[in-house]
Amino acid sequence: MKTPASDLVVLIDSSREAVAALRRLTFIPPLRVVPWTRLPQDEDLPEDPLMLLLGEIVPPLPAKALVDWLDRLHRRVAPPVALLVPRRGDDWAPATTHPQFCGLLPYRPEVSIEQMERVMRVAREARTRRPGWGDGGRAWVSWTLPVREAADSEQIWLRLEAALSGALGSRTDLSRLGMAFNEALTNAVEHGCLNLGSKLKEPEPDGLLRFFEERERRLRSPSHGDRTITIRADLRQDSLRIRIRHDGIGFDPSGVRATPVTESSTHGHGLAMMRALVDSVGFSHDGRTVTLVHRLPRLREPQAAGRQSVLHDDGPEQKAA
Amino acid sequence: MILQRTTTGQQVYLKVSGPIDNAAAPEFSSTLADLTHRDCEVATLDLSDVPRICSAAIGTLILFFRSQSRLGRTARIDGMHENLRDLFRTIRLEDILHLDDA
Repeated sequence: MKTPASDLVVLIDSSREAVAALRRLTFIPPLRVVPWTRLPQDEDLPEDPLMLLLGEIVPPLPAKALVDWLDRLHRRVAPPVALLVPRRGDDWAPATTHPQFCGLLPYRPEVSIEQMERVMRVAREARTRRPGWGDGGRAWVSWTLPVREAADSEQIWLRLEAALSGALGSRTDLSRLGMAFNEALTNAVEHGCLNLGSKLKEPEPDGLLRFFEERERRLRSPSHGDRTITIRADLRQDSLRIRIRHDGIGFDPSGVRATPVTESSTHGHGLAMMRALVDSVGFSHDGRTVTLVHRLPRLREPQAAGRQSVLHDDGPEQKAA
Repeated sequence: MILQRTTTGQQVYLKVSGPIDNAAAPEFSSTLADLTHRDCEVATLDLSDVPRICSAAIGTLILFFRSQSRLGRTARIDGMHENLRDLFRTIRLEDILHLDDA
């Protein structure tokens, strides 16, 4: 069984004590802790942390400055924030009612793994409840789901569509993108995470029903059903980019060809469908990531001078043939 | 997805409502397989209220039309949502499903 991707936590603390305490926790895979000694802004953050842990920084942060910082993070849909306790003074108390707050983590003398897991769980739930849009010409939704949840692609699309419609308004019809998204997500679930080959759909006519039965069986099995899928949507001025990445079995995208639809071919049409429905389809990370690009009508006024959209580069993509 | 089947003698009219996504594809597939096993001379599918369809369901449609044809029976589509019509035209499914009059 392939191990899931490890969680990334940004620790904001002036001392090395807190970093050492976190790194003594035994997580499988190991928890990744990135230390910062000052308050990071959203554009500074590495990758996509699960949460930010705020310890003690020098100089100490007054209550208003702390709340202002949480407000900025909230507007940018940055990761949620937990506070290490005990803390000097009581200036941090107002932060515990902020929507960006996800818990208190006692850490002297040590961090309890149970308490750490509790805070991380709250952080995950906060992220899945609140997809939203960032700022600075770059807007994104990012969810990491267990494959059992991602298997209901229609429900996932409805959630994503609701988030996208809020940003795009009624000017853009996302129906075609929805079908392409469903295909891409289904491929990630079935071929990537569940390791189901299309050959299982043969022979007809009962092959397809047997395929669905095997699909359900593998979704319930720990060896396949514990895998995860990450969905990320990036909004640019003229396009919407959706990436679906799984932690299952990859493949060589250069060997993929869209199966033409003929009377004799009853499966393997997913790629042909995606290509027909969106402007481009690309694969990366050994086939574990598929990127759909959907062109949009002009949405926004030009950005302020000097501000540019930032492309999130996951490495070179290979176009699907 | 909601399936409404109306049978008149050897003719079956099947109205499908809602997206035929991966969760609905097994039921859609078994329903069409059931029509193939029964003595259904003319099967008419109404897809006018289907805004989205998955590739598995497209495969089911192709298989159903092929099976009906081999048995000397008729399968046709009466009513198609605009989203599906555009898609089927692009991937050239129109000819296979005889969508001229849908």
